[in-house]
Amino acid sequence: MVNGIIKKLGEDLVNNVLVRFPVKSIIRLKCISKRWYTLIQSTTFIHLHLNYQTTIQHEFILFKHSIKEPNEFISILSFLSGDDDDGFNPLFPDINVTSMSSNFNATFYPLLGPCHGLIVLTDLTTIIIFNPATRNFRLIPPSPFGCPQGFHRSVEGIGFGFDSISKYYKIVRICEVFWNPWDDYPGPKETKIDVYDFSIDCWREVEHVNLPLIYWVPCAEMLYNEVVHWFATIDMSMIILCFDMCTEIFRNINIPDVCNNLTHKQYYGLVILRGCLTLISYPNPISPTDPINDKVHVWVMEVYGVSKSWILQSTIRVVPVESPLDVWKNSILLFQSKNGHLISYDINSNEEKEHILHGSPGSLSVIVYQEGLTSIPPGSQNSSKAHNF
Amino acid sequence: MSSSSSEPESNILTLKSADNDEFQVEASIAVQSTTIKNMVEDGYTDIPLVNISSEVLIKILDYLKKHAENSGCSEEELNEFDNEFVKMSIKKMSLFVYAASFLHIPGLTSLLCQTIADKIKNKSVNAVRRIFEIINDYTPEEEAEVRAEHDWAHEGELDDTVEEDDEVRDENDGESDDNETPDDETGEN
Repeated sequence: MVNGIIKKLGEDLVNNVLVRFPVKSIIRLKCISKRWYTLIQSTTFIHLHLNYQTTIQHEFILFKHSIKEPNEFISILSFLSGDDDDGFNPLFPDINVTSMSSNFNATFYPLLGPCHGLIVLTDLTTIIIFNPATRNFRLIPPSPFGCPQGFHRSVEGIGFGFDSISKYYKIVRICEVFWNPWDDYPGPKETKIDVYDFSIDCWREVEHVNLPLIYWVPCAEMLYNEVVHWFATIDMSMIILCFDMCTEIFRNINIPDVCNNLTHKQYYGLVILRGCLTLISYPNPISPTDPINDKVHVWVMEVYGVSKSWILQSTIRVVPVESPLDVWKNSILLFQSKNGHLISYDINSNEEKEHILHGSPGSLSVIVYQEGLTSIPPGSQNSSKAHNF
Repeated sequence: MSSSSSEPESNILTLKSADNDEFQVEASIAVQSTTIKNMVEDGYTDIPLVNISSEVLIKILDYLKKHAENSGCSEEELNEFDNEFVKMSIKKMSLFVYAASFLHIPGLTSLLCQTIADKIKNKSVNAVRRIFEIINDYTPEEEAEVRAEHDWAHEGELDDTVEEDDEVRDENDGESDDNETPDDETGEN
C-alpha cells in the first residue's frame, strides 16, 4: 500500500506534513490510495488538522449579504481569504443561497458559528449546516413541534455548538408560544426550548426553569467555551443568557452595570476578542447619527463567567454603525455601516476602513473561521444527505 | 534551551554517525536536540547515532550551530540560512525530517515539514503518488468516484512535475510527467 519514504517517516511525520495543507489540497489526496482516503477521513486526523489551523490562525471569511431585486431579496454567500492586509480575495465564485434551499428567505438573519469549521445558515425555520472548506451542506429537517390552534410559536433565538461529552453537534432554539387571536392582544408567553440533536437526527424538547425574555439584536448567538450566548432582559435590565451545550442548562451572566439598563439608546453585540467574550455597545442604529457623540464601547470579560471582570477595553468612534459583525486577525473589529458597507476598525492602530463589500442595509453577516475537514454529520436514511455546492 | 543541568559550557560531545564517522560538538549546541540532551543528562558524552548518515548529520550540526543561542545571528540571517538549508530534493528532505524527528529538534522538524508541505500542496495526485512511491489501490472506477466527490478540488492548474535529485534540481523543474520515476535518479539510500 505505502512504501518507500512514507513507511520510513511513519504516520506521525506524514501527519505533521499533511496538517499544513489547505483543505482543498488535502481533499485531492483522497484519490491517492484507499489508505490515504481512510487517513484523511479519520476523526484523529481531522482534529489534528483543525488544531493546527487554529494555532497558525489562518483565517477565512464568509460574507453573507442580500441584494434587493424587484420582488424579493436574494442572499449571496461570498467566500474570501482573510490573510491580506489590503482586503479580501474571493476563493471561488459566490453562491446564491436559494441554490441550497429554495425555502430560505431570511435576508437579515445572521450566520451562526463557526464550530470546528462548520457554519449554520438559518432563517429560524429553514436550517442549513455547511462546511465552507469542503463545500458540503445539508438541510436540517424542520422542527416538528407546533402549538395548539389559535396559538403562535415564534422562534426568538437560535444557537449552534458542539457537546464535547457526548461528541455531537446540537442546534438549540428558544421559542415563545402564546395565544394569538386576530381580534385581541397576544396572551402571556410560554418559553419552549427545542434542540436538534445530530446524534439522533431529530428534534427534542428540553426542560427549563423560568427564563428571561430574549432580546434580539443582530450580533448575538455567540458560541464561546461550548456555551451559546444571547441577550435577554429581566425586568428592565439587560443580561446575557447562556446555554451550556453539554449540560443543556441555562444560566445568566451580568453585563457591566453602567450599560445594563434597557434604554433602547444603546444596542449590544457579542464577539470574541483575543480569546475573551467581548461586549460591544453601540448607538441604536434607528436613532439619527450623531457624529460627535456617537461612541462604540468595547468591554472585555477577562475571566469568563465572572461579572466583576468586565473591563472597558476601548471607546472608539466608528460612525455610522448598523451592527458589529465579527473580529478579524484578533484585533480588527468588523462592522456593517448603516448604508450597508463592511467597515473594519483596527483597535491597535485606530484605523478605520470602509470596504467595497456591501449589500442591502442591515443584511450583512460575517463569520471569520479556520478551515476544517469536519464532515457534515450525516442524517438518518429519511432525511436529506449532504450535497456539494 | 541550550544549557544542560550541570555540565560546564565547554563540554565536548562525540557524535558517531551510521558511517562510523565521529564529530566533536559542544554540548551547549548539541542539546538543542532533546534526544541528545537526555543522554547528556544521563552522563553520556559519546552519542551513537546509528540511523543517521554522516552527510545528514553534518548538515544538521550546521543547523544547530547556527540556531544556538550564542551564535549571535539575527532573525534575518537565520531565515536566510533556513531557506538555503532546505534547498534539496523532497526525497533527501525526508531523510532529514526523519533525523530531525529522531533527534527531537522541533524547530528543524517544523521547518522541513513545512517546506515539504509547501512543495507538494499544489501538486497533482499523480505527482504526489510518484514522489512518495505510493501504490494506487483504486480501480479506475473507484478513483473516478472518489474524484467526483470533490470535483472542484481538482480544478485549476495543478503541478504535475516530479522533482529530480538535488544537483540537477534547478534545471529539471518543469519537466513533463513522462519522466522516469525519481527512483532512477536518487543516489541516496
